[in-house]
Amino acid sequence: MLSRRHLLAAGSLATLVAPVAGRAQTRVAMPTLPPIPASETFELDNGLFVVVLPSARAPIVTQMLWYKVGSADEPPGKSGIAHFFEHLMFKGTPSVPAGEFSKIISRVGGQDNAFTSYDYTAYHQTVGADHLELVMRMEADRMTNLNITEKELLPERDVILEERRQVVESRPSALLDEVTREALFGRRDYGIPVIGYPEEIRKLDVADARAFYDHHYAPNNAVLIIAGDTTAQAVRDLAGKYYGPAARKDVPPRRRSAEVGAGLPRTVERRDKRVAQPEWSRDYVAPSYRMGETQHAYALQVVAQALGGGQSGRLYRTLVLDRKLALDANAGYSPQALGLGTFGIGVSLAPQRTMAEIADAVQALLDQALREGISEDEIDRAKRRLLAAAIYARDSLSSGPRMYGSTLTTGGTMADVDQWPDRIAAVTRKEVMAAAHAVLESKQCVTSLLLPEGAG
Amino acid sequence: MRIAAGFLRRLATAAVGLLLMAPLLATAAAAIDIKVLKSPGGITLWLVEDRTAPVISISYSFEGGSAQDPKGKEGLAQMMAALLDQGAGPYDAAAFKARQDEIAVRLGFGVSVDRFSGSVRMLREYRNESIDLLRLALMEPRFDAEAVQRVQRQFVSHLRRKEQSANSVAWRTLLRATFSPHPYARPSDGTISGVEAVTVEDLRMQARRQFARDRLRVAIVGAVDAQEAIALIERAFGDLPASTGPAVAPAWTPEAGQPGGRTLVIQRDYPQSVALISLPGIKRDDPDWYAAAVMNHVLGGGGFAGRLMTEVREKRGLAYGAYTQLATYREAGLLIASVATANERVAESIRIIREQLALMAQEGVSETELANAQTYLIGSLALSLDSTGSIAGLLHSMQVDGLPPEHLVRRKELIERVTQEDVLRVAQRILRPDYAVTVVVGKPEGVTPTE
Repeated sequence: MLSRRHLLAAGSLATLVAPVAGRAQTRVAMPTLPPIPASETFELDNGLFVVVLPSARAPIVTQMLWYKVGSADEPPGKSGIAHFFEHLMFKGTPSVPAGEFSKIISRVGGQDNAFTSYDYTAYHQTVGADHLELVMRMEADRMTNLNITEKELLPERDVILEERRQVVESRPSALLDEVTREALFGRRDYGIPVIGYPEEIRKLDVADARAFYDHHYAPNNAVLIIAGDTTAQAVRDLAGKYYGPAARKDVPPRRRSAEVGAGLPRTVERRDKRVAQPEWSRDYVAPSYRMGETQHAYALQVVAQALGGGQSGRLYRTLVLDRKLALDANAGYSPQALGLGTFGIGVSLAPQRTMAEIADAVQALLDQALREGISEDEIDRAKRRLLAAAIYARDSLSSGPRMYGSTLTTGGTMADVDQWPDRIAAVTRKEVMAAAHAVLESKQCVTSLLLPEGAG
Repeated sequence: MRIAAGFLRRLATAAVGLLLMAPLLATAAAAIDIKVLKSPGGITLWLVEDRTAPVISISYSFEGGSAQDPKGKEGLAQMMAALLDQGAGPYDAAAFKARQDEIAVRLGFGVSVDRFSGSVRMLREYRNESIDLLRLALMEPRFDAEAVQRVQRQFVSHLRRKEQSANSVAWRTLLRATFSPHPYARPSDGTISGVEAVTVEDLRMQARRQFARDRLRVAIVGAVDAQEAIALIERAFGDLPASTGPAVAPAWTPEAGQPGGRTLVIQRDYPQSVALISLPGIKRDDPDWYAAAVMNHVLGGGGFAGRLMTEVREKRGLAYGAYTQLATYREAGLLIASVATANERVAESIRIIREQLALMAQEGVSETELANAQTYLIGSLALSLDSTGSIAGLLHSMQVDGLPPEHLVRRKELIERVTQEDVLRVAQRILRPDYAVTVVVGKPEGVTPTE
């Protein structure tokens, strides 16, 4: 998805944040970062990487198993198979009948689910601490013993077509996002929707599912994260017992194209009678932590916050508060991808305003920011928001596994998560401006217009 | 419905959150040590000290919500809530946000039909500064004309968007059809004409009426001891008026049933139809509450474990999901079933859901289903003890429900005590097809409206 909001890749935390020099005014000190929480990691002989994040707050544990496969790893013509396969993982093994997985979890008072993205697929359960063995046994079981049958596959394919109707086809903005991404990246990698194209979903069959399982579902292509009321030793014992026997496989290398869509810059639009609020947006191809000019990845997070972080960013202050051209305006950037990232700006038009007025106003704002610079004061506030988010993430059992999992499956390390606040704090104004110039002056962008039917 | 922490949070979400809040595990109860404290000014607060992170969360509410919006000003309470952080005391909107950034405090305000709810998440080191900002928002909101106009336009845009969403249209239509002429029939985020009619003076009046100490319920959780907690709560709320009079909604009596219930169809040219079915349910203080919770779980409250999910999704691939939920209000309760299916197959989904409701009223639940639902309900509450914010939310909702802290221990016994007969009895009380209101939004084939 093209998220207009900043998705924090926040990690946790070192003890010290460098004081910000040359602040424009006297302020309270930067938030103090608490110590990095305890974690332990180890690797099984079959290549499964295991992370343990103990926390005794409540007598519960969360297991997340992340596979290093997402929709961008799909073979050509098989769009949607990664997500479809995620659904099929609930369709049973010789020891756990179809549909029983979630029921067993529910019976012990637990909850479970799964999700698929461009670069990863994750399965997770949260249960009382005494049921950790149960969920580890069942998750390990379906890593190697999944039944894939036509009887289960066919109705599930209909479920997915309904899911697509519900989350994409019923939402004009989601339909426009698909067009935008294809324009940005072409019909490859992140240019293809995670859920897939309906005409390709309809053709996915048992052979496709089996091939996908054989190629990607292996211990050496996964990261296991256990968080909550347990110990590293307990997890080590259980992981060895249940995941240990799974055989290593030859996993195909993960490739992401550095190519972008043809004919950029481009403008795309969707006119739809279901649109009540016109939206203007622009997405730039941007570096991620792994591809492109990766040295800008931390500074771009500060740029996105300074320009478009909630109601404090320059976009909201200028377009909404001062000039009253818009009802909302924001920016977002996520560096977490194996391939290239995107830097997006989104604006909801005020009544009677035109797309041309908004385009001019945004361009003027960006030009000014590049010409006169983003101030130390704006950078200071942007960093505060990012660091606070990292601290608040520490207050939740679910955020740790998500941060480590998404990082480790996109080529990052534990240290990348742990040092994230330090690296954000260390970003300089010079780096902020270099990153802003690199992305915001680029022609590799798509402007997207969401309009009511018949609008001018 | 309560726990409307976010701005304009959807009714449906609030209702689901509610049921998840209700269950609690005995071991979870042992894991959290609730202290009930009283401030010198007479405010009762519940505290859990938790040093996992240097963070403090507060969850609170004041009685009185959109049900008290004056006729013709629907949306007033919600607009007032949305304006509290758009300028207060010495700060205009931009300055208020800048101050929030500086001390990294997060303030949430929201309104449901029955309550104004708020949440605060703050860093321990800036707790006093954070509380001062909350106090300003509640006691000295500015309602600058410019901010009011801006929020008004944002609300209108939001409401226009909702008019195009099948899901929102279905919910609004369902609540109107179910509750009319009771004030619960009106959407808590208002109407376009209501929002446009709200004046600055209305907003000032609303803020003066809403915030009084006798309407307050509050819980505080995190890196804070008892003395500090009392001081913070007193600092935030201590200078509010003791009382501004009661906030009452009239009692609700469901309309007389008609054979087969009512069916409303809203025609929209969408690829998929959203269908909702409501039935008058029971209130939270009903002795059969946990029997109803078991019934709801077995029907469709437990996601993949529910009968509806099995019949509609797993066996037939008709929908991405089919659910039931219990929605509770101060003066009412509902059971609501929901599904979204392709237009040509939605009639089949509705038929299956109705059959399942009838079957439940006829036969109740099996012994195994009862036992499974009980272990789920007992065990699942511990899952919500995930952060200071969620623990504070739980403590706050218990106070709203009139439950004592010991409920965390007693609850297990109350759930274990539920029998198959109890479930059958409550099923027959709630699942009466003549009282069902069905709303379908889309271009459904084979669905005949009754009105």
